[in-house]
Amino acid sequence: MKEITINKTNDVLYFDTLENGLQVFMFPKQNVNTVHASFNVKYGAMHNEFVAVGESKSNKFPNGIAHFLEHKMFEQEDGIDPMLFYAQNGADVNAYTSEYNTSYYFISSSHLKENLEYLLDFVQTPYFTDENVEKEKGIIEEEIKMYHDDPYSYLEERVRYNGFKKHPVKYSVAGEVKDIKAITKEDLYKCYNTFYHPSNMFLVVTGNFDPEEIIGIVKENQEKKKFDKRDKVTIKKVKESDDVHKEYEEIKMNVEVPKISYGIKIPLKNIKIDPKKRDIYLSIIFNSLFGSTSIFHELAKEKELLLSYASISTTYSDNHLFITINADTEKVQELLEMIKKTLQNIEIDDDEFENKKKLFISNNLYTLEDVDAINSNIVNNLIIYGQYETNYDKIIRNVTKKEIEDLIKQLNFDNVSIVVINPLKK
Amino acid sequence: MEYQQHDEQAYNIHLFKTDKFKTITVMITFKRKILKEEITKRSFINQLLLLSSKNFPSERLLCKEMERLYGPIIGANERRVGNYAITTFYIQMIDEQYTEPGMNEKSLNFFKEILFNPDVSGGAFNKKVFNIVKRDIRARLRSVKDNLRSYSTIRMLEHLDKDSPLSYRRGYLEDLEHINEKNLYEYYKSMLNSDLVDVFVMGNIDFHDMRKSVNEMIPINTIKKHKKSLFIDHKTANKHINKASEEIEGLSQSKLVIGCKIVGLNDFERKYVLPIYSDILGGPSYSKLFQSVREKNSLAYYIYSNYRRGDNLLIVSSGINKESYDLAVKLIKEQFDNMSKGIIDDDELNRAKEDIISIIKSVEDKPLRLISDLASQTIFDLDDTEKRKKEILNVTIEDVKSISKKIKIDTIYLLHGGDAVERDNN
Repeated sequence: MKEITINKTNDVLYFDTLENGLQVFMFPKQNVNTVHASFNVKYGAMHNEFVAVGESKSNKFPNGIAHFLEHKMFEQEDGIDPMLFYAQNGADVNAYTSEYNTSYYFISSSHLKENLEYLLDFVQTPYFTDENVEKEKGIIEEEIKMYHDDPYSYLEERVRYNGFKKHPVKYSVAGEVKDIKAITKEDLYKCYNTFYHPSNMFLVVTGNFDPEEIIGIVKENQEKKKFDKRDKVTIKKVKESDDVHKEYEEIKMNVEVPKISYGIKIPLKNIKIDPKKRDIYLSIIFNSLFGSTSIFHELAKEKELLLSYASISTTYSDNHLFITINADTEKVQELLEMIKKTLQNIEIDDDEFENKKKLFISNNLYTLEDVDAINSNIVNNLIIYGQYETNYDKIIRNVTKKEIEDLIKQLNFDNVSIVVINPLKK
Repeated sequence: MEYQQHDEQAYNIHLFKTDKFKTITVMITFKRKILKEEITKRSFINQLLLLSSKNFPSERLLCKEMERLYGPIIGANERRVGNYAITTFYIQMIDEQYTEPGMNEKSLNFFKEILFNPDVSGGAFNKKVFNIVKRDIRARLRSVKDNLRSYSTIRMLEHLDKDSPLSYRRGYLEDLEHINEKNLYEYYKSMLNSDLVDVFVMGNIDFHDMRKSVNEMIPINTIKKHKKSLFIDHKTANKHINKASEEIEGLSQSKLVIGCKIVGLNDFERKYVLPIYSDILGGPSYSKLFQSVREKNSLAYYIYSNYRRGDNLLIVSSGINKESYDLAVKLIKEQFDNMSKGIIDDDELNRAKEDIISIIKSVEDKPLRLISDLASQTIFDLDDTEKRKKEILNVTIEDVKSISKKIKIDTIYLLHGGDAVERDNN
């Protein structure tokens, strides 16, 4: 087991890789009550076409299958419901699926050994039947409808769909109703057997515990189970061009105030900078341009073009970043025009740059204060960057004005997809 | 955690000393008997104050200053608890030993500037910022249907009792139009003079120094006492269940909301038995409603119950297919019946206890949630977390059964989309 001290707070990250390939990350904090443990699979909604284990050719699976699988892991052959198991121990258990990964986690303040063993056990014991697969379809159908009725989540889904031509990140995580109706138990087993192998998974434990004890529990549990040796899963590479699938779309929904999403598809192939730094710079750029300290924000408010705040979100694909600027507005075209203009001439003054650096420093500390935030931060870093940075504070302190200016020159903001939601009546 | 309370006549100070966190958190609550026509003004004030001050007369300038101070988390909210309106302001800052010397005092002064040095001239708030906030609030009030879960709850409550504070909205368009820079400033002054004020501070603080800092920060010196009871009492429960349904065009998932009046709880029941009742019936993970409506019958993705202590209400919420309405209502009533017949086993009771204890423990790990809990203890006259963790263990199945008689379904409300059209992304 290795130990790395987290600079700035002197916490320690413990880390080990088991014989079966499972990586374990532990971040103890002795003065809290809770433990947050997440068991993560490097398999998400966008991994939809791949060579399944034991097969030789690549196959396409229904959209939404990773999320469907996540729901079905809560079904166990012995009839014990993981929800019930954790409820009895006063623990919260849940799971989520994103474009990139699937995570199962519990948060508890007692019965740690049992809870941890059971997390490993229930995620490593699939049980799908024709009957229980059918049963889930009604539940997931209601979940999909819930997202479609919500104008903000629909806007986000829609702009991503229009931003990408072929890359599977374009599809919504839960899939559409007709996709999930096609899912069978055989599909689920194929996906499960391909991706839910310890070498494609990692465990992250944060909170009040003894790392020696935890690694002992995990090793003992894993040694009891047999896993065959595995090569890396071959996921079909998609050639995605830099232009968008659809540049502009208007949708009508039952809203009072129109909503816009301005999606920018940024090609990454010429950008050589370390991705972690790149993302800090991009965050500085977009927050300086559109955040509450920006000229854009001040003018858009004065000219009555913007309601509340513009929000920014990012989607990662293999060769692009898709950044969206989302807002409520009563003057759609004028606001879109203003966003476009703002992106044409980017300058960040020294004062703004130093202030944004301070924000990163403090946000990092707020994260290190919270057991749940630490856990998801480790997971996200491993998924997006392939590693967790234990001296993030140093990276932040080393960002420079010169580097951000160079990056700004390399960024191409020309490929844009816009979605507008208009009210039904007008 | 060490605690000190000081009655400063015009306000109370509550100081909590702990070295558990790297942050210092301050929360101030303003409280008075709720009047429907004042709600919009109060929520206006808590937004306006956070956008400008005398020395930082625009949002841009104010936010820039926040960044210079390493981005303290500053927020405000307006809520109603029973018969009272409560406005809360808070600041969470990183302790200066992790940022820069002098930051604690500077951040406290900044908080003081925002709350007590507003941008006022000639007895009126700055018109420019005033108009920006007014437009944002107008858009928010018009967009109340964007959040379907909260909208359906509001409509259910308006059917349950449209005259009682329990159905008051978070603002009214017709009241908004009567608010101007002058009368809003008058109202702000009346809040300082007449509201009951409590100040909470938590962190690694020095009691004496912090008390002094708070006294220097707060320019309030009027003494006030209020008598109105916090809790809304229902005289009698209805004999017949009130049923209502409404249509929103284009909605694909219907929202079912059931409101129950609670009559005649004693102190122990309100503090300890009611949370257990709601947890067993419709708690977060493994409840009677979740098992019946979602797991056995696949009718919903979400179903849960919650209670509003100040309103003496219990509310069940779910998202269903319109065609499933009769079956869903029947299943939900069955579970209410099971509760009142005492068909509850020891496991269910123990799970609910474990759940509530673990929620308390996790609150203790999060500075903002913990300080909010400390504020709620004052508002509801609750016991502290240590006592709550012990007392909850004394609740018996007989207790739960006996409060079932005091909980009566009053209103069943359905928000639906008429003959729904399916929305598809592909």
